[in-house]
Amino acid sequence: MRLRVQRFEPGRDTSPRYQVYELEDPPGQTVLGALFEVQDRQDGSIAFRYSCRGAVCGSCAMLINKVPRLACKTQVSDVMEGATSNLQTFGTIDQDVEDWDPETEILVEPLPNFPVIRDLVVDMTRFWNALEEVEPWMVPAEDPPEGLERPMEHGDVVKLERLVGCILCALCSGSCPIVHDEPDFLGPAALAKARRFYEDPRDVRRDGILEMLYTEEGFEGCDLIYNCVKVCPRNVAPGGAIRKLKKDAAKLPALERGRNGI
Amino acid sequence: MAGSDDFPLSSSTGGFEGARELLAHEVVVIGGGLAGLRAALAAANAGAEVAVFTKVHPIRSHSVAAQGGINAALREDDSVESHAFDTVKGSDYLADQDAVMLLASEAPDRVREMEHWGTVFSRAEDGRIAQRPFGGAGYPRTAYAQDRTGHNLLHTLFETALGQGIRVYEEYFITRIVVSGDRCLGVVALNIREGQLHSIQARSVVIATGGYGRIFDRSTNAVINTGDGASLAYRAGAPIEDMEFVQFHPTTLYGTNILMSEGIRGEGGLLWNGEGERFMERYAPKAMELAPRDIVARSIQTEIDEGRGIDGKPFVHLDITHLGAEHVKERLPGIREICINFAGIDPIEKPIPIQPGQHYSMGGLACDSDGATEVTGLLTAGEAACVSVHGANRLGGNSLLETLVFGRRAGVAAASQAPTAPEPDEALMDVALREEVARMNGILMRPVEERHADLKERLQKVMFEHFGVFRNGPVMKEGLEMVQKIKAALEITGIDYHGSVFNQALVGYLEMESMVELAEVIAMGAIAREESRGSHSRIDFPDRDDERWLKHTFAYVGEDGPIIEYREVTLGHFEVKERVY
Ligand SMILES: Cc1cc2nc3c(=O)[nH]c(=O)nc-3n(C[C@H](O)[C@H](O)[C@H](O)COP(=O)(O)OP(=O)(O)OC[C@H]3O[C@@H](n4cnc5c(N)ncnc54)[C@H](O)[C@@H]3O)c2cc1C
Ligand code: SF4
Ligand code: FES
Repeated sequence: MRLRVQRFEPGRDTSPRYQVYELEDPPGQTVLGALFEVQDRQDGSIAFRYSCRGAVCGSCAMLINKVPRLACKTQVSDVMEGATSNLQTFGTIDQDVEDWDPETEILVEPLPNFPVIRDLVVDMTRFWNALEEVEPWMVPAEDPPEGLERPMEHGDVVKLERLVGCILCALCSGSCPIVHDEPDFLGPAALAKARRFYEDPRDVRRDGILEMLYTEEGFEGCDLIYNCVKVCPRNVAPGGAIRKLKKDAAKLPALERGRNGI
Repeated sequence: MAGSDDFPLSSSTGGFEGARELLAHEVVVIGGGLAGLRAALAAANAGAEVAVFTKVHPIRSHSVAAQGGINAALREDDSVESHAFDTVKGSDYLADQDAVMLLASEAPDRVREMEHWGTVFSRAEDGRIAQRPFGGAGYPRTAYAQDRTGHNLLHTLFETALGQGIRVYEEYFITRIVVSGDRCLGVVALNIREGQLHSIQARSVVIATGGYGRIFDRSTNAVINTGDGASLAYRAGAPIEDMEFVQFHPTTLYGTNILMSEGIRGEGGLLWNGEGERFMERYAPKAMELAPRDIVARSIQTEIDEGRGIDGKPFVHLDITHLGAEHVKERLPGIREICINFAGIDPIEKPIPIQPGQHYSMGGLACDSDGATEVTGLLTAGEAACVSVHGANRLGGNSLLETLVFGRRAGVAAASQAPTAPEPDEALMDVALREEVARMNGILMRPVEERHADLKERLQKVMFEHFGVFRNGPVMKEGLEMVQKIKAALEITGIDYHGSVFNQALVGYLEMESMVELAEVIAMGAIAREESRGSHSRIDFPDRDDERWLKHTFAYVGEDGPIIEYREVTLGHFEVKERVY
């Protein structure tokens, strides 16, 4: 099995190059396992992010055979079988890689839509800033009761669980053509997070959240392409959350355009 | 400050520089997991100026992986007393009972506070926080958020910290804790992304760097759990406590050793051996599958060792096929996903192959119940610390709780001490920075004698095979020699990448330094302790020996390796008894 990995060394490379690594038989079954095998035994210079190796921490988002995926959740054998992607393509996802033989090699590239720091490590500043923009913290309706939890309906909890499950891996942002084209668009994960607080009965902001994000940078900027829904490893369906934000916003009478204005 | 003139190696030829800018914060928290973030919030709330330094983004911390839940006596028919008793008994009476009382009594407030900050806990019929039974507990007191409790808690704390504007330096790796006399002055950190070393002055430093599970092969822990903070503090003179007590979780997924939560057994999961027996009948006839972890782990290991694994292989079955698809999907969705993704098995249809694996570090930096270590200005909390509330064996659901209860207490203490700390000593910090720059460049300039990744693999195997579920004097002595050889080999080898930006070879090397240092202490503590207690189970000394060994192990760094001492256990609330389930 061979890995064709995009490499970039700041200060030395002017543009990315590709390096091919030969591996005995698929070690540890996952692409992350294969990358560790390279780093540990062949080439300590290769850089990629990791932590949990169990698809819960969101560190290892990258482009594997032109599909944004978690390296730790992606079985080498599944990639080799070569399920074709049903994503709307753009940017790097669209670019051919010279010499890449999909029959025998797994292609590993950094997550699209983010500047590369080195090899497979990208600069996530834009992602974290977008998250902060949507003010993702609880603003309670009233002071919580002393010495008691606020009661919640089981049904409300179940409704929230999908959105709360987001691991902030940024696969959705890396798959989104709008994130690619519009540098100010907040992106699917941040908007899904906003929806999480909108739907939480304990949060007082409700329509305030809609108003804040009723902008081109916010949910108005989304064209419902749904690449995000297809790549999300946690079934968060951020595109669906954005669609609901749009729908609820449309119901509001004489809604003020958000703070960013359009 | 150390400038590039002093260190002529530039980043294109490889090599590290000291940053000219001196960072200074009143309270510096190392670690962005639950303990670190909770400490930072508490310190900020108490009016201190705080910064968090972490080697990965906070939500990438290992806390995010915790599944089963968090203990607290939330219901009227449960009690703090009963929670404390279960904890002390679970600890095989090695826990300090005053600390345990604090843990149990502050638990309800800490858990409810997380609800107030937004955590979406699973709920019972009456709308209150749902709780499930967990091993070793006399009451179903483990609150949970599906089987993703750590994820939910950590994201909530991160969001709260974001809302409060807590400063986070992410992808900064602490390489040294600077101590002069008996006072901590700050730390030196490697900015992984820029490839520069910084000295960071602080009036109080809180170590919340988590556990060191990756010292062992077959660990449920994140790859980044290498015990850096405890190891650095130890090297800076603070003692580490009870390191020989390492928890082996009974149920980890065969192959990857990803955790199969105790919550699975809490929901009714059954254990079967290769002969179709529910073998727990032989080991804990009353508690069965829900006996405490150390007991279940040993039972499974015995079945495997005696050839009763499934088809003679090193695993047994954890079975939830009888629970029904609905129940599994609602209560254990994360577990189901892991089984499908990492083992190709849907647990609704087929039993899960499991084996014991390293899971939790009971030992850690010795501290009091406000997180204070023996070094002034150096505090600690979370899995990196040893308060000690877990003694010889931690109960499931108590360590998430520990991060919140003692994280908060350490944060408050760090803030309250800060104003009385003497003026920071810039000159000494500068010396420390220069030394660290020279040390890093030394590692870079050495030839690669042996890849540190190979040394790591060797260490992990030695630790699992010689200091695993069952221990034995001669085997351990042989293991210690091997650990010392690995340590010596590491000291003379270099690394194969010399760039400064995101040099993971260097990070890996530094982590390996931490691991091998702690491994030596674990080994020595385990060899010295001639009894079996909790997770420390010796074939040559099968019984607990309160007369000689009802005491904590303290290890200090010495010229030629660790210096071992012993301290009294704080008793007073519960009588020391035999532990039967
Ligand atoms: C799979 C699994 C499931 C678990 N489930 C449960 C459960 O259900 N209930 C329960 O009570 N407990 C559970 N535990 C235990 C519990 O999750 C941990 O003990 C707890 O989360 C530790 O939190 P922490 O904040 O101390 O450390 P961590 O969350 O590990 O955080 C450590 C932090 O330190 C930072 N750090 C480390 N080294 C450095 C360095 N050199 N420089 C800078 N920063 C550094 C890291 O970046 C990280 O932010 C589980 C553990 C595992 C392995
Ligand atoms: S919505 Fe899905 S893809 Fe996007 S960050 Fe969250 S988990 Fe990742
Ligand atoms: S390493 Fe954590 S999600 Fe892949």
